[in-house]
Amino acid sequence: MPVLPMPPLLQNAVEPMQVDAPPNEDNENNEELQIVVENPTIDLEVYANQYTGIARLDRLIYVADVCPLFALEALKMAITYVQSTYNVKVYQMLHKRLSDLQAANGAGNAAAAAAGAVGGEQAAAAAAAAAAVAVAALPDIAAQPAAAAAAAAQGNSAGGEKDAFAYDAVWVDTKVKKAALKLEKLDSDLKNYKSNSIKESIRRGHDDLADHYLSCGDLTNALKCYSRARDYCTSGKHVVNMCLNVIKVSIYLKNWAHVMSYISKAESTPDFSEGSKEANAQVHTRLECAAGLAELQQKKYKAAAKHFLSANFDHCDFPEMISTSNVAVYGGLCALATFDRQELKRLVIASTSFKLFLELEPQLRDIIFKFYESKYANCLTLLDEIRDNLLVDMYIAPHVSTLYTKIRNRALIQYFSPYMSADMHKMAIAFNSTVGDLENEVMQLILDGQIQARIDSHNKILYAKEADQRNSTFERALLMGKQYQRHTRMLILRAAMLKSHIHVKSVSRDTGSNHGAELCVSAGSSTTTPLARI
Amino acid sequence: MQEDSYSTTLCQLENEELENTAMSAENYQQMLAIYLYLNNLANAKMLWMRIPDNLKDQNKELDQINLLNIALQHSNYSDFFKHMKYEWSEHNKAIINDLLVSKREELFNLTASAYVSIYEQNLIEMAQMTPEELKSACFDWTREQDGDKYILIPKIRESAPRVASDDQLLKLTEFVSFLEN
Amino acid sequence: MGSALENYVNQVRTLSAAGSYRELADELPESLSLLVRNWSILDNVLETLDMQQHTLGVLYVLLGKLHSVASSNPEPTQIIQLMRDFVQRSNAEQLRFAVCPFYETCHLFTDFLVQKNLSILGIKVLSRAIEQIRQLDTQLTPIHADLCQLSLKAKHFNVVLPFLDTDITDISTVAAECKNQQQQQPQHTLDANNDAKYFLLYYYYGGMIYTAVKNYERALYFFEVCITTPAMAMSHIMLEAYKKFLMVSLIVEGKIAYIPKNAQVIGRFMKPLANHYHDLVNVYDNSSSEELRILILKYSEAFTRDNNMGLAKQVATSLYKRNIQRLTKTFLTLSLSDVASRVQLPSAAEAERYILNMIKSGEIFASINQKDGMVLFKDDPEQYNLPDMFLNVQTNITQVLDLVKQINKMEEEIILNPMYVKKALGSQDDDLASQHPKTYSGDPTD
Repeated sequence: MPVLPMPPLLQNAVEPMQVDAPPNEDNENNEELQIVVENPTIDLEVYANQYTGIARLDRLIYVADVCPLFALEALKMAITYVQSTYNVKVYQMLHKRLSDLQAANGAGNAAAAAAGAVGGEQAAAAAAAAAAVAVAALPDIAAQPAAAAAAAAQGNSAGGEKDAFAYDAVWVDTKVKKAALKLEKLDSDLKNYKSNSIKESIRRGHDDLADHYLSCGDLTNALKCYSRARDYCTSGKHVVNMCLNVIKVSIYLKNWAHVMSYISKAESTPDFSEGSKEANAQVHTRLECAAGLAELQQKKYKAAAKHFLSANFDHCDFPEMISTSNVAVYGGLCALATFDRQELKRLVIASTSFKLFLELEPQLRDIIFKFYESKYANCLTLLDEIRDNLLVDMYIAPHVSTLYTKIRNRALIQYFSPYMSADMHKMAIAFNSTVGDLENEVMQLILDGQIQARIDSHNKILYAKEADQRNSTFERALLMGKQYQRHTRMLILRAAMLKSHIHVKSVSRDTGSNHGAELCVSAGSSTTTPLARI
Repeated sequence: MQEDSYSTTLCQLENEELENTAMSAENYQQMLAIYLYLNNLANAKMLWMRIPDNLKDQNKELDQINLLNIALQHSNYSDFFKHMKYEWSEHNKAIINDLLVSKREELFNLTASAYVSIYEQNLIEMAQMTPEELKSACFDWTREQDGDKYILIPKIRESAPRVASDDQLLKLTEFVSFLEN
Repeated sequence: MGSALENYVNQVRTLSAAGSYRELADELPESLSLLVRNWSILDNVLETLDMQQHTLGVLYVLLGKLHSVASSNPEPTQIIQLMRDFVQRSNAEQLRFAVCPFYETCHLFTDFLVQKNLSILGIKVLSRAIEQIRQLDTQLTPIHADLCQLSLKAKHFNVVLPFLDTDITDISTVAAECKNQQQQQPQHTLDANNDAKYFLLYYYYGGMIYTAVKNYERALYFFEVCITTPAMAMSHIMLEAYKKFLMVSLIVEGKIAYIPKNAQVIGRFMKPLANHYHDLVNVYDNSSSEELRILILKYSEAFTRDNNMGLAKQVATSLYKRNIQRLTKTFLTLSLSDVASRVQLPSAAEAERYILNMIKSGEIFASINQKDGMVLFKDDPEQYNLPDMFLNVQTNITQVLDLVKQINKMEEEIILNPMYVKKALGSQDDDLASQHPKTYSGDPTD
């Protein structure tokens, strides 16, 4: 079991195909634990309302993880929402976290806790405590009394809102029973359909069953059922539907390789173009968004950017996966980090379709434009401003630092490209840093080969340098000659070795074992190694 | 030429060492000095390790030459020139003198190519010369004043251009004619 | 002189006079124990034999003498003189019939000298011995390893370096030379591993010698040959060679040099035993001289035990140099104190010293400006447009062409070998159509 807080759904999934590259997950979560988002300026309700289903729950839980400011609010919103689904386990987990959080807050400054604004370290401690507790946060009915007791003990300090979020055991029981009932019904329905052998109904039956599993939060079974529907698809449309469902669940499971393979499956379905243009465009956009998301998580930023940029604004309506502003942000940032000037102009700035997305995120639009206009100081400041907001988003948060570094490097390279020599003082001002830091950054870029230049540290000037082709060719040729000679000589020697059967064999007194106490005998001394027996 | 005669002496001495168990201290001194003169520091180092300890203890001059050796191994010019100031025996005077001259020249060449400007004090320290000697040695260098110190700005001596030898020209002509056809 | 020895002398005389060296060589081994027993009168025997005419006989007497040094305790100079005369005056043709005993004699001679601490006197003797016995200038014999050992002990490399500089194309092994004599040499247990041992030793010692004269690239080559020798088990020689290989690799390339994949012994056996050295490699990678210094200090005992402390210091120096070279790639000018701090040297004066040395040895191109306390880094002034460079390129081309010719010749030899043809064709039995083209495919005139 991973030690760090992960979406509760993963705790249910036992299948091996669940988690994509667990080490990566751990690393990312590590950073999140240390990053405490202080000042996000998003409106949590608006943010959450963009999503439905498990997507909303995942995102809210992520917000609660990293942002102590909104932790309380996020958890409460999540609890309210989860009560409209069958997902009992998540409810229990959320509730436990909420009460722990409130306990930690109550232990400190009660008034401050009630007001919802938490001081810095306390928040960190609370978040850490909540996170640490989440380790053992397997839904445990036995924890209920403890939670209830804690809730009762705090009945004094906080206000009446506590009661609305007390653990509702009745609701839990009812839901569990309802879910079980529904499951039974769907199961028997499916068996009926199977005995009748009507493909269409069997397929639909599988789908319904999978939907129910999804609502209960059982991702593995949901995936299984959706995949089973494949055998009963009779038209291209069905296949595409099935693919889309599998993609949806795989995204929740974070199995990106799976997502990619099903996207290509959907795109290669022969009857893809049947049905109305409208539906097609929707499916197409959906696939592009899913592809973009998958590439983003696999750190292929350029590919992700390209996918997001080909999404169609009018048909972008997938609240269970991604919102339009997400598309704008992800696409915009990745493009900024990986496109060169021409591509940026052609595919982003001049693009009519993407313009609609960008209008949803005016800050990002400003950033991109400023970058293109080479107003780097502004651009970088704006980037810093939206940084916190980005860190609250679960899909892009792990990549924020990398993308920012890439964007900064690109800015430096672009800044310097027209110059033969540049004053480093001016450059430092343009990039909001000190000359010393800038020197180090540029030194790294030169060593990586991204800038051809030399630093004049005495006068603090950066000089562009052209590589002399002729000289370097000579150098390479001579080096190659030398390497060839060395290689060939060793080859001839080897041939002689093989011809004379030079071979170290394992003999009883020889070291076939790895533990030789006489290892320290230097062969330069008179007693040669134990090989010598004559 | 001087160098050739030293090379033959060296050959003889080396041969003798390979065949004779007991070499005299003077022979070792000569060998060591010649190695230093020929700038063969690896051999000099090995030679010192070979010399039997009793000779090292007894013979002061041998020790002195070794101090020169150590100074050169560490590229420490000031130590080298310091240790040069010694009463050398007749036997070794010639070679030691040659060594001194060649090292001085090497130092000045190096300074000329490696330094854009150097404090006179530092150069004096390195070369262990008196200011007058220094002035005469680098008479064509510019001398500036920086506060109470003097700075020397060396002039690089151009090396003579090399002319292609005959068979190189022949090869070149072959290439060209091959490419022309 | 005992009658048995008289018989010996007569045998030698008659068979040598008759020119039946093969017979003589076959019979002599039996007399060896006799000679060893009678070590006290071997000198008399020598007086009756001539080195030129009775090379084989004298050889065995020498061998007997060397076998009995423990009991006879002879004057070292005498043995040395004997060997010296022998290698000078012996008859090379006769020696060809007794290659293995000759090798053995040389090995025993080496051991004797090392014991008596007179290694330097044996260097010329062995070099002459190699020249006598080798069939090609580029043939490796077991005596090469002995020569290297004596040179290392004596710290005299002038004689052995020319041998090391010659690239080997053929190897003379005891197993191959003395195939027919095996059954007649009961007391000389021919360990097949011995050939491997002398081969490994040659390359190991050779690497050490090159390290001592600071020719690190060639040392790396030698160590690489040593550790990639075909092996089923690990040998200590290879292990020590591996440790040195790692360190020299850092000095030459700054990382572990490429090792061909077929050397599995390395991964399995040698890596786990060379932990300190791998730690050294990892720290070197971080380019931090301070960390390296601390690490070397920590493991100084282990390094000293392996006699690698000198090399470790060279590795530390090379890291400073490498870091300074990195600076030349990024900076045009830099203050000396900045250099010192970036490279982790203790002071600006120290940095100046390093840079001056590197300028002198041609490792970097720079000028120091003491007035401003700055260093100005320059590019390699080599323009590749002088006759010297042309000559250089010319020589390189010729060398490469020679090598290509050599490879072609070797390929020709194999292709025309009937065994190879049979094997190559044998796998094509079912494909009649391709048989003819196959036979002609290796036409050397293509």
